[in-house]
Amino acid sequence: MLKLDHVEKNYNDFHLNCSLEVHTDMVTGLIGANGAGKSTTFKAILGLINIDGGSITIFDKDARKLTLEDKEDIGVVLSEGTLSGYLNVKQGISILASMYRRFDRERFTEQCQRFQIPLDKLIKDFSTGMRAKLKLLIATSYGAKLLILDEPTAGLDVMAREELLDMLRDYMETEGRAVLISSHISTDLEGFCDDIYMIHKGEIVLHEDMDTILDTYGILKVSEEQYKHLDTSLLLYRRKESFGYKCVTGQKEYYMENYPDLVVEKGSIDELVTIMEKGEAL
Amino acid sequence: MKGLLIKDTHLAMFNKKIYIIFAFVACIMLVSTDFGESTAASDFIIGYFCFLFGMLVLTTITYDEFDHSISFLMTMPISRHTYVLEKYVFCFLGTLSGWILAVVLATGRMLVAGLPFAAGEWISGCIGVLLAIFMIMLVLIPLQIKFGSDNGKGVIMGVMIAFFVVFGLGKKVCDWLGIDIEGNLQYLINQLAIIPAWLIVVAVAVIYLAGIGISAAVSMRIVDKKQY
Repeated sequence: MLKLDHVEKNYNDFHLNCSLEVHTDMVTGLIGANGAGKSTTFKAILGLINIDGGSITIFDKDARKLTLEDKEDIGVVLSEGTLSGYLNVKQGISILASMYRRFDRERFTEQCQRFQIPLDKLIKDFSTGMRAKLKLLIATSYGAKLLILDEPTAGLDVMAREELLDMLRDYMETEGRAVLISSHISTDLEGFCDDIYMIHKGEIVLHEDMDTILDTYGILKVSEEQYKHLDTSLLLYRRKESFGYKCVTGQKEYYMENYPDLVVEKGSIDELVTIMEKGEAL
Repeated sequence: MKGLLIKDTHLAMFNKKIYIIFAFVACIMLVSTDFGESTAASDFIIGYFCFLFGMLVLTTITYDEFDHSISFLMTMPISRHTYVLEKYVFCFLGTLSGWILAVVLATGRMLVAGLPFAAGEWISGCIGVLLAIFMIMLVLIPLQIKFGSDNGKGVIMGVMIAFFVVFGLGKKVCDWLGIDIEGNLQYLINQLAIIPAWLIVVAVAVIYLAGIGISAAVSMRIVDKKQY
């Protein structure tokens, strides 16, 4: 449904070189630290910035050649920006109804009531939570096949995040849809994504399905002495700690079986991001 | 484009209170001005209204940029060129609405005041004001799109000041050189009077179509290069 092939974007001190694929009926997560290139990747996909190299294919078409009808099949949440803050939701509804042929006015209004989004209040006066809910409601209001969601849960409390993720799960109940989502809250992605890409300094450094990460990836906590005698061929990253090293492996079973004295913890996205960001690749 | 026009109408309505105050001031000016034997005061009020309504379009560009909403707008099923064209359509509709309102009010005021005026001359003068304001808008729209809400106001102000400085200096230079501008303009207008009306209409239409084409092309180029 979506394919990025060596998409490049150069800024003064940043270089993006990103390849990824989003398949139908799958939820793909893009994770990385702040400034890793997530938003740049999303903007490139949506044609908001010009790319310096590579290609982007959406619905098997060059992204630059998408028709307006094709754009109606893409639902978007940007980390910054939604309908103008000087509009209220009622006015937004009339705009969306004119822009999207499949916009479901009744359902959207019902959802606004359900999520306690005021219809008459200016959007600029919304709280972070209200704004986040509105963004996602808009993205899912016209039956788009592909959702591109950049930090849709940012600034939300646990309850609100669960509500939004439930909304997305409902959305994925319909066949033929796909989601590309970024979030800095790993638990959101762990419980929702089928596939994960990890981006670091503009490069995709890891691509695995979520189950593999949770089942086979592990964090080893080793002293310097233990590290000296460790088989490092199956280690991916390491980070220096006061006690020695924290290492990431994609074969935790191997280390659990062969080094029973080692502390091997279950892989978590948070740990992976931290070790990648602060540590070094092996 | 329909959705964009609806959006801009809503955004323009956000400032409706300010515009009602401006309109109220214009009405007071209209009522309190001693028209004498001239239509100059009416011409000013018509220009004032047209400019005010035309400025609505520049306000909507500023609102589009507020809090990155332009980025979201560009993900909707519109093209960048449609976004630009809609600004011109909205500007034309806004300026025209202000013009119609002002012409009706000014004509009514002159009729009430019992001012003798030739309908043909009056309406052609009014159309002249509309065209002049519209030409200014053709310059201001690309500037606002290019420089945005932060720098746009300064640049537009700079352009206006430059215009008046050039105009004022030009007049001084002409005076110094002994060139009678008013006399020459009057001569030009007299010469225009012998040109068939249809030819003038065609010439004005061609000039304005070219102006719109150039201005829109510049705006589209600016928008094409923008990174949202």
